[in-house]
Amino acid sequence: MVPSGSPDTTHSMLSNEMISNEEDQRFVIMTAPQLGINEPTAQVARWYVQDGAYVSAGDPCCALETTKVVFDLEAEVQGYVGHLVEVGWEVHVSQPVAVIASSLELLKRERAACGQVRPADSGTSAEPDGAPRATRKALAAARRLGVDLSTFSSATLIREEDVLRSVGELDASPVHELPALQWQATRRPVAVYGAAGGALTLKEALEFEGVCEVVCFLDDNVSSRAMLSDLPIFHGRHLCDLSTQGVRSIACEIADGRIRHRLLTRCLESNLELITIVHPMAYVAPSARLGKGNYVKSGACVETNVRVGDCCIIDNGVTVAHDSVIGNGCHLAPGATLGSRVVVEDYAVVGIGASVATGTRIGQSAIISVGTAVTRDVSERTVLEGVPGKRVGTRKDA
Amino acid sequence: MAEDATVVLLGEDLVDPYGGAFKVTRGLSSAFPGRVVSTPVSEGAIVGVATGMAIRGFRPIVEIMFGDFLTLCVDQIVNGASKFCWIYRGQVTVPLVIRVPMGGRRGYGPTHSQTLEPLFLSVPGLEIVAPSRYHDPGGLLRRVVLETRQPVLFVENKSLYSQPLVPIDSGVWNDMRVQRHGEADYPTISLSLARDSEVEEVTLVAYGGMADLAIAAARNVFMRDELLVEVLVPSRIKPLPMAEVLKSARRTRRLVVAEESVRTGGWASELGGQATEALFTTLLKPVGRIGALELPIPSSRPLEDQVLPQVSDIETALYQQVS
Repeated sequence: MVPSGSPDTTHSMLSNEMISNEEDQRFVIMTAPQLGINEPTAQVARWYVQDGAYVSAGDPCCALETTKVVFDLEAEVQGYVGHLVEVGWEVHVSQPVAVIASSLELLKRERAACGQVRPADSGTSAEPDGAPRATRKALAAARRLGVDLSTFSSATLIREEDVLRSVGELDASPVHELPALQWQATRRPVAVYGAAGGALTLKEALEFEGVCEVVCFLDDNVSSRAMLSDLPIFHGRHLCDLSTQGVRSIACEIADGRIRHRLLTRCLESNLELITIVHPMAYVAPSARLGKGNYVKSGACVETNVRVGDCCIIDNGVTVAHDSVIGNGCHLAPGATLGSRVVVEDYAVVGIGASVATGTRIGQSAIISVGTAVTRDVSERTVLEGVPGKRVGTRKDA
Repeated sequence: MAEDATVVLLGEDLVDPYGGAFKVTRGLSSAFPGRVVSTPVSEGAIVGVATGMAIRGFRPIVEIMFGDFLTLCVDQIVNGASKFCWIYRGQVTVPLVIRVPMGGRRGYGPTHSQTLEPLFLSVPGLEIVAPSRYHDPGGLLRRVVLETRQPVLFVENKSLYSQPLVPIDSGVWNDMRVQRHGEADYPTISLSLARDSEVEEVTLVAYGGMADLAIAAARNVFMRDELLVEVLVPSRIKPLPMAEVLKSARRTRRLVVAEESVRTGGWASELGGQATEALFTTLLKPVGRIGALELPIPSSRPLEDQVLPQVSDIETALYQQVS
């Protein structure tokens, strides 16, 4: 939420009493928050209120979705809502989504001033009758690979697997035919789950001291023919076959904390160890305790008596001061700074450069946007933005 | 009623032209004169009279206008009908069917919306049958009326009266593979989006009106995250459909049970307890239980939605199983 001020005053618009007196020519522009560390856009899923409707502070206005998060943008003030985007649009972080004005007249004027920024990619999830029906994963794969889903039959549900197979991206060979993996005999073989940029940093961190060797990558979105850093990328379904080749250690670098945490269960079921990686250039205090499947990147500092659950990413340059407690599947993005005795509950994301005051608690699945200052407790699933942090809405998917 | 002259119908306001509160009996009093009896407003008396008729050779069907009023019949059922075959050392049978419209989501408030059949789970000698859109309710009713030798609660979720039956005979419905399991008389229906070679990740059990919410939740988690769920919809809930549930949960190793009644001490608790006894080392997570809050059901529809389990509650429980 960006307070935009009225034409004749620079006074902040953050008060709920915005239109309670003669100073009632006020408006607020609501913008899209950053919902994921690496997600610059979100899709408008639905409007809860009609264009021009009157809302109270806290009312959900519209739902935004990324590939990982579903979120309700809530009105910070009361007033008349003007839609600036339409359902199906892809909006960028900080792009104006709605304007809330104290009068319909003002709404009209300010909306005209904002204009409507139609995005380049206005992909829509709405499907006419008879059109192909696809899962969210299939839609994402089709978008990524440039596959036209209208060539698929509308008789069955399209899955990610079908999209991958259509472009020869899926290994058609049976699961037991995992190609032979190779590594130096003196080293411990490790498979890395994830095949994006972060996975390469994980490979370098693992191999930095010459003890481990990454033998392959696994990813749910890539074929077995794909390569990364001269190593094969296998589909995630091959996870259970790794131990037959003597690979018993898995390291993980994928963005979604819940999926990371779920991977821990899958590894346990397959008799694999999901290992915690601490980059040699990170500091983890001797008294700090880390669970399984964590990745502490270079430059991070995890101080005395800190407790970290399973499957967290503690990114470059993060500071976690003493006696803090981090749950499962959390992501502390680069440069996030946590004071002492901070509690971060499961699956919460603390954005790049965010600052978290001493002793505060960040609730489960909350998202702290980039650069936000957390000065008091954040309830679960809240999305917080700004300095000092203000609630801009509620995450609905977690 | 045409097949067996001993079948009679007792209940409040059943006779034409009214034909019962939900119009289930409309036309029967005209078609079978003298065999449909509109009774005084006294549920205990209705069940008591019907029990006596059952002992003496009739096959009575009782309609309790709202299942909530079954509380007035508890003595007749618990201390009478369900025990007589033992008390009289097998000299009598009690082929009595008590039809009870249960369930909420219609704004009928605290005393006309409940799902009370779990109160009767610990009554020996009583069976509970609960049709859904995925069964043949007429066929089930015909079977219990003509064949039972002991009292049966026939639970009809009233939100289903206006819903069409789901055609399942082709084996596929709404992209889902549909199969029958268990006894032919009281089948458990399974629905799944898995393809032939795939094993679902979670078993989800629901009966009656909750079946539709369970299937919606299973579809939603698949469309969102391709999480595969096998939904089991039993037609007879007491005795519990343990064979079918254990068969599925042995494969998926995860079990969620959803019901509309209060979660505490409910059907899901009993099913979950028995499943845990059988599969303690197989299950990867504690059995998930979905039910209503421990509160009276409000008359306000939005508040009622807060108290009764919703599709999103089931989705959350499914995700908890795999997280």
